[in-house]
Amino acid sequence: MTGGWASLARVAVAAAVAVAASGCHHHRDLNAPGVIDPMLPPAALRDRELEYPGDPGERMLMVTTGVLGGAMGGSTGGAVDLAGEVTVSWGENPITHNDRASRLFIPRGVLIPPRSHGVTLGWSALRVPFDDRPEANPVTGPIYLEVQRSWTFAGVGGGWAYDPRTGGTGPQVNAFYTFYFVRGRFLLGDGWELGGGLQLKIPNTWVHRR
Amino acid sequence: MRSRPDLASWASDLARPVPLAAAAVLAANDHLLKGAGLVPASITGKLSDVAGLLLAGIVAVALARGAVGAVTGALPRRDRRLGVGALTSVGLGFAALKLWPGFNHALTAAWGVNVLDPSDLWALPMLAVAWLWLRDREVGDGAALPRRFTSGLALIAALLVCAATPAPPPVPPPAMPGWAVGEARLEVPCGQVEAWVSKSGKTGAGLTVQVTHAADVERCDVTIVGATLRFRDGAVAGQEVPLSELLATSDEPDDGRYARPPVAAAPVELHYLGFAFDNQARWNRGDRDATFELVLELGGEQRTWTVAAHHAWREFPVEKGGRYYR
Repeated sequence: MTGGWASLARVAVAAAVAVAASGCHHHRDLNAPGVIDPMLPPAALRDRELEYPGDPGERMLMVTTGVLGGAMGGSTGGAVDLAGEVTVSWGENPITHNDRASRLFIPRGVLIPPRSHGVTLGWSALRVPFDDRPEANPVTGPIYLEVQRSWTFAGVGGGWAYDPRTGGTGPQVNAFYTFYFVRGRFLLGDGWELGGGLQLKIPNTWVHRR
Repeated sequence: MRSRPDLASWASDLARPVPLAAAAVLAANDHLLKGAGLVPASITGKLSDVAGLLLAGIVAVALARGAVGAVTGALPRRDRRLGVGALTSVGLGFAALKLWPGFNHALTAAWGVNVLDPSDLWALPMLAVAWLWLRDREVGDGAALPRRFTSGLALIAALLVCAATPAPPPVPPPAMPGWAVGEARLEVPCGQVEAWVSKSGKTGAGLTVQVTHAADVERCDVTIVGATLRFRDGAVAGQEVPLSELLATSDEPDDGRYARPPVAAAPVELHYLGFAFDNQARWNRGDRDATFELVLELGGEQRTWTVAAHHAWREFPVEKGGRYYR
């Protein structure tokens, strides 16, 4: 097995494990009570029930894992690029989610805040060059670290990339919307590259009230 | 190299009057008629099944033909093995949804509420109607195809209508923590005193106390002269909120939501006691048991009434959710 295909196998196994462990959200008790003014009587004083308190909203911590696949081109030529990523992000939702409510097209386990910040660690683990020559073997690509700002299903990020194979290092930016992403980077020594494709990322979310 | 059939050749069935009418009926029924009170619920419930099965059958056959056409380059007939297989799949899926609790639960979790009701299976013959319609289409396939744009639009609309149904019913709001007391009732010589926690949140809690004067006993005055919420590590003094002042300062007309100030002849008196404290901190550190201590003055005599309380997650009915969770 060549180094490239071994990388592919590793990425596939990691992705399978990550996906199997994702797509869930976990409730924590922290800060759970609602918002009230205890010195103001309930609106329906004669109701022998607890008044539903004001919604405090919620905070979320997400660990999102996924794979990205697409094409890239640049100074070093074109290639099919397969990457794996882990993003740790945090955000707030002003309205507490309701597990009983229907959220069309979104699986109930998946919980994403309207706005979030995060840090992404990724690796372009496999590159298969657009080249018919037998010596053009699959290779590994850069490892990168980005900060990320997201708006539900869309986001932008920027950070630094380092290719352990070539020693090239430099900045990179990316943008995504649902399943689509584009990424550009400039590595000192290797030159620039621009790519895009599809991503499959599934969040694992821990949520508690604000 | 095989050529892919044009979108208009396999999706055009959906741009015909029958599936368009079924989609319109389904959308109007699920999103306008259900719950509006215009048509009996027994009719709106079945109308969705009838229109939905007809439309789902036609959509399934169209998608199956499109998929096979993309692979083989030729569109199979609508009324033969592929069509019958697609219609049977829809029927089996519908039957599983209505009969199999596990499948119903899984689909409900991913999609939305679907009632587990075997009586809905009476609508299954609509798949036979779909097959008859598809057979007629096969015979009349020589007719001019609608434009590709029209077919594409019909396909998208049909898929959206199928996926967006049924309209979700109101659901209970998310659970919230709240203090609660058990059966808190105290018999006094002239009636009884009851208490319940009516407010609970991050900054404290509120206790409503009701004094009910017995009709056949001479009336006595019941006054709350002290209120304490006692924890293991300390106590919080409660404060009675004068309801009469609240009424006086409210811009809203008295619609009965607030108790009138106690008057001499009233058979029932309501009191509200507010306890302001850092309830969130206590919740976070697991300090969830306490005791309400009320000092009552009954005809010049003082008596202490203690009521155990517990702080826990509480479920609320649908109508408590307000506008946020419907």
